[in-house]
Amino acid sequence: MRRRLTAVLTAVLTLTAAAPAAAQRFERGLSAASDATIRVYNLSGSTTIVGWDRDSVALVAELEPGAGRVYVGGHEAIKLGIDPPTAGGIAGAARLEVRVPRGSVVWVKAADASIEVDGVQGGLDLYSVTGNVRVRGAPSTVRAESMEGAISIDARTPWARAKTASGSIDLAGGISDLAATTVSGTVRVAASRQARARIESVTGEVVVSGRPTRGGAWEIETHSGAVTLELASDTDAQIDVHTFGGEVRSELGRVGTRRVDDLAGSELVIVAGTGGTSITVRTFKGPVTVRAAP
Amino acid sequence: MNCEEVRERLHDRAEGTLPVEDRRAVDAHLKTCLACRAEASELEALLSAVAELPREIRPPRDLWHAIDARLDEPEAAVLDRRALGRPGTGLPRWALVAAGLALVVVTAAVTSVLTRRYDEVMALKLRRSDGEAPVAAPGSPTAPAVDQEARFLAASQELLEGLESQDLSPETMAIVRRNLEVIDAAIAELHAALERDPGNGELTRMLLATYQRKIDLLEQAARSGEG
Amino acid sequence: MQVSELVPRARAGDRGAFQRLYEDHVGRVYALCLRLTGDPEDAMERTQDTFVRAWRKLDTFRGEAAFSTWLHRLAVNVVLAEHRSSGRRERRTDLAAAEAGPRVQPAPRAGLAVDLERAIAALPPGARAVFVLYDVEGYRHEEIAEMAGIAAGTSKAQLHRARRLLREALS
Repeated sequence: MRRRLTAVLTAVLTLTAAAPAAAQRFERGLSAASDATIRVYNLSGSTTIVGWDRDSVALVAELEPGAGRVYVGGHEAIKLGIDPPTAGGIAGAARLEVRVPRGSVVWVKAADASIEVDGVQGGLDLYSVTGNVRVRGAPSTVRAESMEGAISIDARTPWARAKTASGSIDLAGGISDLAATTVSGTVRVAASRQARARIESVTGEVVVSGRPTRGGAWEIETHSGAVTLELASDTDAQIDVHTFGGEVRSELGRVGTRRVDDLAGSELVIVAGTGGTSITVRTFKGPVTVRAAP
Repeated sequence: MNCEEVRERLHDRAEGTLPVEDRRAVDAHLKTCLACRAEASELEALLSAVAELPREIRPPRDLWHAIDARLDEPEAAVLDRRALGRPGTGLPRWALVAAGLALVVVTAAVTSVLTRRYDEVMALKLRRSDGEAPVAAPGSPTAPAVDQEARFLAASQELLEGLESQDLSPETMAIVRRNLEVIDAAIAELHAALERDPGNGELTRMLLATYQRKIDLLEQAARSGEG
Repeated sequence: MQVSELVPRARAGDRGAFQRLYEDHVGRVYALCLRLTGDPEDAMERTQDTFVRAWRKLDTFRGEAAFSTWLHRLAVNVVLAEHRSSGRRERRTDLAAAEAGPRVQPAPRAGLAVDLERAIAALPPGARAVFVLYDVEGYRHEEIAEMAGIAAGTSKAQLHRARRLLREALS
């Protein structure tokens, strides 16, 4: 049975960030449910979230001049972060470090601030526009979006979704059901225990390396982004490549059916080992390369 | 060469695509084998009869009136089920998205003119060729590809307009514009390919998937502006 | 109206121009549909479908290929898609209904063409489709494979089977 601290704090700290040019430091703590929902707002600078084994939230903020006001409040639903100055202009940056109960569900919003989360076991929803997003540990779910920032998820989780416009996406660590979507960013996935994987890009390059688990289903779709599969030489996979104008090269396995038609597209089936994992690659004109990992 | 091997090669021989060495071997066999020779000449007779088949056959009835009537119908009459988008890319999702956005038509200076114009032209073309904008059947899993494209266009139009009414930073709008150009270039290439091979299910699927990238991008931008 | 003007005018919404295009091309389209489906009623429906779809897709035709080639390809896709999705049992044609079985009685030279059409209509659907597309319409095995969703090797095997069945039916 979980012990819940019953104190309900609704204190809102209002501290002006006027005056000195040096960064101002604020430290605050409050009790929190062990599975609290925590919403963090920090538009500019950096936000780091670390899970710990206490039923409380500890916040350390370093604010540049003009960054705005720090606030924190709630118990089961906690809202904290930096309120940007309403007078317009460019807000100063703020460095936020927040320790949260390990079982928290965390939601972070940023503009150009980077977001880093480690050791949180609840679900994560992380949104930045140009900031990088980094996830470590074993969250129950991860949803990470950044339009231009780089997303890096190296975590053990059953479910992860990464989305960028032009930012790169790096996925590793053991994600059972993963999806990465981008327009022009590079997507790199270290294959391991995926049951389901979906990678979509328009012009961004896609690189999948490692040993995809038997029985997994992979779908990779690009318009012109190059697709490279660098797989362990003992991989068991059937790779179905559908392309209209792209070159397909395989140094792994044996080539099965090959239909070539310059008008209606080509299909090439490559069987490595006993073909246990299904990998479907669809591209309009991106080059596709399959090779054995060194 | 035995009879079975010869019979396999008779097809290529009749089409003139048999390699020279094989041709010699086959011809030598045919000199002495009556059965295979009969088969070879029957095949050639068949192919020349086929070559004489009429290239045109008038239908027993005039079909124009039926066709003419269908040209006025609002929804596309032909279902190419191979061309269906992935599950989850149909109407319900964009309808939900559109409902969550302000649909204010922006008359102020629009920075994404290039993209809007392309979309408007495409939307107009599709609407005109369908007679009117297709009536959406919510959750319909069998919507024709043309309808789906029209819906994607409508959804991206509304998302774009919604974005312009939001107060997104110039940096964000610049990111959106840059990536929209990439996506629209891809869509144009797919359209060109579809023209060369109309009705191609795989290409249609890719086109609809690329439209989904556009919706993803616009939704992502819209989210960035929300509190 | 000049022939070269028909497509641009039809694209602009000129129904009359499109009717002219219909009249110029319906014979080719119907012949293709009839031989592929083996049934005049089906063929007439597919022909209509083809022209209706062509009208809707005219915007995407930018004149890079010949209009007839474009229309032809559209017709093939229409027939094959409908065949895949309908899952209907094949209906014997009116022409072939009178036949007692797959063997056609030997006929004088003048009637050979009719007998050939009947024999084609009596082919099993897969073999018939490949035969019509390859021997009658001139598509390559790779093109047929892509359009029909089969392997090129299967297309070749079906072709040889069709030719063998036709030879037997006509000899």
